[in-house]
Amino acid sequence: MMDIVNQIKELDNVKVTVQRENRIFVDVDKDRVIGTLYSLKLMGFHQLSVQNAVDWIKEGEFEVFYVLYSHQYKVNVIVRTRVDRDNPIMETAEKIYPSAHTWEREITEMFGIKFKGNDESGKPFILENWKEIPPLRKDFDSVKYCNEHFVFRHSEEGNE
Amino acid sequence: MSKTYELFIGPNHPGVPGNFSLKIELEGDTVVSAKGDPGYLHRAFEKAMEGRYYIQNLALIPRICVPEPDINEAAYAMAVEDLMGVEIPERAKYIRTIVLELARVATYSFWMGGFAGTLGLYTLIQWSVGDRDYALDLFSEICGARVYHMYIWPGGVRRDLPPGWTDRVLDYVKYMRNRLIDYDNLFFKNVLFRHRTKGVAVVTKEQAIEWGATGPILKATGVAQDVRKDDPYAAYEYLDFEIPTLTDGDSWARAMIRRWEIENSLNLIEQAIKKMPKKGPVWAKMPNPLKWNVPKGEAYAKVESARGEHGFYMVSDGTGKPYRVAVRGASHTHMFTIAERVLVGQRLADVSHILVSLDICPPEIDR
Amino acid sequence: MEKMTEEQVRTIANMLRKRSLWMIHYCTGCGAMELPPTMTSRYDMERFGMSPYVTPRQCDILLVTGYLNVKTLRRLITVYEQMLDPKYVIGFGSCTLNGGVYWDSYAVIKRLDRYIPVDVYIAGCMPRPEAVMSAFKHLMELIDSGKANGYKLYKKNLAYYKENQRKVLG
Repeated sequence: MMDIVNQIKELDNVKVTVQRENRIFVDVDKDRVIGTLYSLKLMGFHQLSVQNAVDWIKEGEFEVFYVLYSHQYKVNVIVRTRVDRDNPIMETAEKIYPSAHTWEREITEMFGIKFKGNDESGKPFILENWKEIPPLRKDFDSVKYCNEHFVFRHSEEGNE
Repeated sequence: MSKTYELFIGPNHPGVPGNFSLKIELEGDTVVSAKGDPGYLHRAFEKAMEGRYYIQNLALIPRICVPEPDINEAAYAMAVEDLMGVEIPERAKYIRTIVLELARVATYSFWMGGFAGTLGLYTLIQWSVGDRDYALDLFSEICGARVYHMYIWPGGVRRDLPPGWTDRVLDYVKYMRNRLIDYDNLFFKNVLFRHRTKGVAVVTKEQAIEWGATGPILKATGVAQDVRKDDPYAAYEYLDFEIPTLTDGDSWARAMIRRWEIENSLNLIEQAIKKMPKKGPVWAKMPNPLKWNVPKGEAYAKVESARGEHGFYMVSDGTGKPYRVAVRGASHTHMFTIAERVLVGQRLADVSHILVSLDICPPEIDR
Repeated sequence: MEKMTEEQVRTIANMLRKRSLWMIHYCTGCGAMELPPTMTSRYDMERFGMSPYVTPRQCDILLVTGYLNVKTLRRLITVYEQMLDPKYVIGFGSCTLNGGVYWDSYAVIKRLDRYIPVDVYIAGCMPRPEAVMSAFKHLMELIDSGKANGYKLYKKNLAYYKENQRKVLG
């Protein structure tokens, strides 16, 4: 495994940490992420397992991560990048990994991050008629929404 | 120039595997384009998990994938153990292996019944769901519930096995081996099954790798990729088994791979019971569950489910509640990247059989 | 031959109706995992005359298995209104009672009987097949005694149900 780590360290402007055996974390800047993904695909990381996002509200940033896998080296590489929370726009990765198309549609609906080049991101996907802020953000209060929109049952009531 | 007709294969339909809808455009009898419409089963798991303690989430996670709940518990437990740096005892590893393989046999029995139903044979589901019930009886002996077990948790398993349970499991394995002969004679050696599935919905090796397939879809094209061999967890590194592969890539090949995986699982259960240590702790020493302050970090844990690779990505910020949990269901990629492309050019009568052959499980897509 | 009174006709009709209830094959939620064991060989449901069928126009029972998403609720109300009288609704699992495990989810409705009238509830998560069979037996007794009147309530209080539906569906 160490030779694949050294190969990844040779890509420019990346920061590499090894969490445990077969999990390598790579941190890059937002502008370099598509180039890094393309180099990793040429190295043999053919499968995109997951692409999703984390909301770091206290630091004012979103973090988008890509989990890649290679059957040849049997190693998972996790590429992480940070985006500004007030104006989150990123490039799409669907030209490199076709399965990123659907993951990006979901991230746009749940977090509000826009992906340039993905023509279906922004259309309703899982939610229907949703009028509030994107629900997986940390400032969306789920319990308050439930109390406003739904009716609960109190314990001693019977059926009408 | 002929016109196309838009057809909704909506949620209230026995041909769709679950609560899911498709919008297809037909030209005569041939499908021209297909678009999936998810969201009927969305329960906001990822948001709900952020508001509960690590131990409270155990009640939520089996419900993410309904036919096979044990893989969710195993992946969650492995992610938490990764972050905390805990090593589980030997006996717990073997018990987890036995429970996971029994769940795989039960899921494939259920799948067989559904698959034969889409081809028009309704006898098989009466047999196979009845056989699956004996496995659910075995589960209810160890944890009290038939479907949602909440048995595998961070640190090991919840409690030790009752006396005589392993003998009953070995009886079930012998019974299932006899039943497989009946299933072969009824379905897998049937001429009509071969005619309907040979050459239908072919996925080539390059397409499967490019589109990100895992599990039986990839094994049916010739790539022997399996999480149990590549990144072993529980007791799989001590057990001896082969990964079945075929090269046709069509619906017939996928069904035969799943049929051989049932035999594989029965062998693994017998080996695990023989090699398991007879006594020992089943839960590592963990602190008080309400004060599990998991250290800061990120972890990705994956297991091999009946459909493919099932993964949990967990981010923790040092408190007692997870900061972010992202779930990777295998059906997410299989539906939108693979099924929407494979369905083009197929006949309308084959649409529901292709969806079940790719094993699309809607709760995993919507979460 | 004497003419039969309306009540006698109704009694005979109820007795025949309860022995051939057809349910809609619509698996709305995760409770639908315990339906195949109930319908197939182990806990055979067909000996009571019950069987799943596909079109709402020819079914009597709507079995709401488990939680209901807001997106599914819109379709479910259409299916309920397409069914012909008399029709019965069974709420399966504790999610139809008060939201169950998903009480804090923004996408799951919490009380089913504000939107359509429910005749019988089955508690549990998941209810065992024996519980499902005893609920069907209870429904048959209700039909026999003439008390399963959910469908009449829907027509009588239509404005109330419609207003609740509009509030949640938008």
